[in-house]
Amino acid sequence: MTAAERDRVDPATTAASEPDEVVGGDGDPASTDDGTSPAATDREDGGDAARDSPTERRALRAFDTGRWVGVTGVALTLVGIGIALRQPGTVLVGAAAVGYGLYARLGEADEAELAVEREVSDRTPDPGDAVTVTVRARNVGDAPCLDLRLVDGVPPGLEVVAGPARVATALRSGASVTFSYAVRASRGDHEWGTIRAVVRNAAGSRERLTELETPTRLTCTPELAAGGELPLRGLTTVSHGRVPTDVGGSGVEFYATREYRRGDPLKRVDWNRRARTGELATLELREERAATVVLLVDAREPAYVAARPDADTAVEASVEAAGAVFTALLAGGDRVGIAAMSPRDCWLPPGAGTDHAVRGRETLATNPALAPTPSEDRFYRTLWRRRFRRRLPGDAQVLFFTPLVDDVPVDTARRLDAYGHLVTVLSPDPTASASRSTATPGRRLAAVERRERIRTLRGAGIRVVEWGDRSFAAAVAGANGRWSR
Amino acid sequence: MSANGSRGIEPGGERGPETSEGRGSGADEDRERDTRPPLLAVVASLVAATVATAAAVVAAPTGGAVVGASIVCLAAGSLLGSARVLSWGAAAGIGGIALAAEFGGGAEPLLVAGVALAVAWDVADHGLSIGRQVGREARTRRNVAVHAGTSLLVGTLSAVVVYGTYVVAAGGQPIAALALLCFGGVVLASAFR
Amino acid sequence: MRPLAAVGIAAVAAGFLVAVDRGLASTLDFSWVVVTLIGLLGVIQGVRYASARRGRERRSTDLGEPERRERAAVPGADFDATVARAASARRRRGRAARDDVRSRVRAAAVRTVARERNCSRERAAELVEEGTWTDDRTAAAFLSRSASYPLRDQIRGGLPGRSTFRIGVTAAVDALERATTGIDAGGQRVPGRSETDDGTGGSE
Repeated sequence: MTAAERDRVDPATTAASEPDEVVGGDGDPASTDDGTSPAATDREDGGDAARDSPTERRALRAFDTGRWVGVTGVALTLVGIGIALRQPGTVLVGAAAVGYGLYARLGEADEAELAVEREVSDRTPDPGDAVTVTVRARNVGDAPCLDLRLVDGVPPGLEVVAGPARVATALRSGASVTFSYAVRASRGDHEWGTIRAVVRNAAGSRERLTELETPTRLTCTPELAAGGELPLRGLTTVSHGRVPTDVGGSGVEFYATREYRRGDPLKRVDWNRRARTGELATLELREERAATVVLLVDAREPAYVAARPDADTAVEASVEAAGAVFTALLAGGDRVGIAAMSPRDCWLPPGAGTDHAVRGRETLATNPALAPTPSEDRFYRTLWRRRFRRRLPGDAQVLFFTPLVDDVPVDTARRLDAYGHLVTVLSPDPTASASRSTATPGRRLAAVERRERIRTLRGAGIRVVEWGDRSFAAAVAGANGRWSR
Repeated sequence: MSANGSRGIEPGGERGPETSEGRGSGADEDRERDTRPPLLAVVASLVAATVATAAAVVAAPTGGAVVGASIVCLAAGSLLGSARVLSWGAAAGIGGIALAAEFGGGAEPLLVAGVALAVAWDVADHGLSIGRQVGREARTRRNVAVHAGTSLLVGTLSAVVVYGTYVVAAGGQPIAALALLCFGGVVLASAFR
Repeated sequence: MRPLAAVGIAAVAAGFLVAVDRGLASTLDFSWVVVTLIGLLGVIQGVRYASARRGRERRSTDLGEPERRERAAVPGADFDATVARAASARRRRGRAARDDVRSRVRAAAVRTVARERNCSRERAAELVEEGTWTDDRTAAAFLSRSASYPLRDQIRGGLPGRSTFRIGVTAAVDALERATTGIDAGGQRVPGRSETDDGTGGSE
């Protein structure tokens, strides 16, 4: 933005008079058509308010662009030379140049009086889908826009994959321009920001920026990973002791075999061994109590880091892993809740059932605390800690997803552990780099500091699972193998 | 990580086996907007510059050659995205016209050359600004065409007025009139500084 | 400005009149000198006008890149930026940046040493200050207020385009890495250290 000060024009609202048509994906990237419908400048049309999408706009001050500077000087010089040297040709050219000098002074860059509509081909896509966005802008002012450039305000969490979200055109009163582009959908609730319209006068010597708002929202809720293959026993086991029962299904785990004693239920006999060796033995099973687990995702601003600037952030990795864990634990009969360590509030109390599964999925996808880009609000650590502690059920375990890029999560984990909750830290590694020798000192130092934090946590008796190159499931499986019961 | 494609913390630069699912993350993410001026603007400016050169050559070959240098400068300026180089092109053109006038060039071809040069510079410079703000891949044809058209219109109008005055005044004492006009122009310019 | 503009307009109008009306032209007999002078006046004024405004810069709205997804921060990027600032500024001006860098590396070193040698933080700080925490003399000198860089590093640092500070930082971070993972920058296992912790196991 230039140094132009904000000049709030009375927030003008322009009602788009046409009903909301569905514009199917034009193969044509842009088309300029003449609006044949009457250029309705009706404002605040009460009757059609439901269908109209008013376009609010806000114009900044016009400024000089610096084009055509010195033309008059050149013209005068040429005329003077021509007169002094008695050359009519030069004088003529100089005089014609004066015309351009006048042209440069004429006209002003007006506010862009546009009615803008935006269509999204799929408002609830799956992650990775290409979604076509079509924007239509109509000149509802009386004067023509001789030099108009439009840039759409694509949400910061979305990446455009086809075509720039821009167009340059000239619109007379009532004419409209349509342009479209495609974005790749990614997790989250995305809202389009302001469309910016740059208008210049005919000569290009004055320029003005106008910001127009047309709210549009796109929500992408990923399916949570099946999680069935996630070996989570080790994470949430609370041993209840050996209880030979005939309760079957999930929540019951093989523990050992012992010699058959008269009276053991036939259901618990190890028939495989009987078939192999003829001996009778009884399976001992351990019933596990359903655990109450809270998945805590570190979504403060420092956690939005990645190994490369264009890769998914650690928060994305945490959310994805949390999704898999959520599904797996719910399937295992545990009660699971979701929370976020973030300036914005996020708390889903532990629960179970299909409704809860749906709520969990939505929370992980669209809660503002877990947005794909960090919020700008401040994070008040003590306030958050107090509130979280109040909400956390006394017997809840905490699975803490954090990249461990600073010491705050270490402190938080240790405090939660001290309050009596079983804490496990699951940490995606944002410091991995292609080859150790080409990594910068900063990155290596960050890796060293992170490793130290992991060691500190482990030294305090808190379990840490980290993953980076390997998949999350493999890391969890590896961890299970090492933890004793 | 989950089977959902290759999202996740990857080692920088290396692609693990999960990325084979055609996500092509590197290629898409590194896509840079093409900020070069639109082709129509570049072509139009070069065509106008060629017309200017031709007219100047008709007027006087030496001057014409200098104006020809402006073609190179305008092309280079569009390629490099430098408004300064474009200004050099315009300066070269003006110098060439003055030179051609010095070597006895006729008024008419010089006028044509002058207007064509102004249009050439204007369209090229406009193209730079469009490229920077919108880019080459977007739809810009109408915008460039309208701008070129208005520029040409203004130039033609000025040339007609000036030439008309010249024709009407020719044969008399045009110098006095011109001197008065020049004086008036200087004073006006100072007034509107 | 008003009177000036009026004079200018009057002169231009008169000029057009004279151009069109031959009769008027013959009455006005401008001598050769006057005409040339007016011409020169035009030239001078024109050149002044043009050059006075040549310094003006072009201004245009910067529209940014909304098409790109918001870029993620890379861990350690701010540290690298501070190192670059510290290394390029001489003496006094870079001092704050250098102190920043040093204190961060020192904190990491103290933490590592305290854990490795199983001693208190104070003792670890002493070791770091003495420079006995590592075999690498450059690294030791970087973090110690008393020790100075070996001669070889001072020479290398003095070369144009190099800086002792940067050499020191790299060496210190290398040494820290070796201390924590047992693998040095070249990917070789450091002899005498226990197997690397690949981070997936718990220590209980």
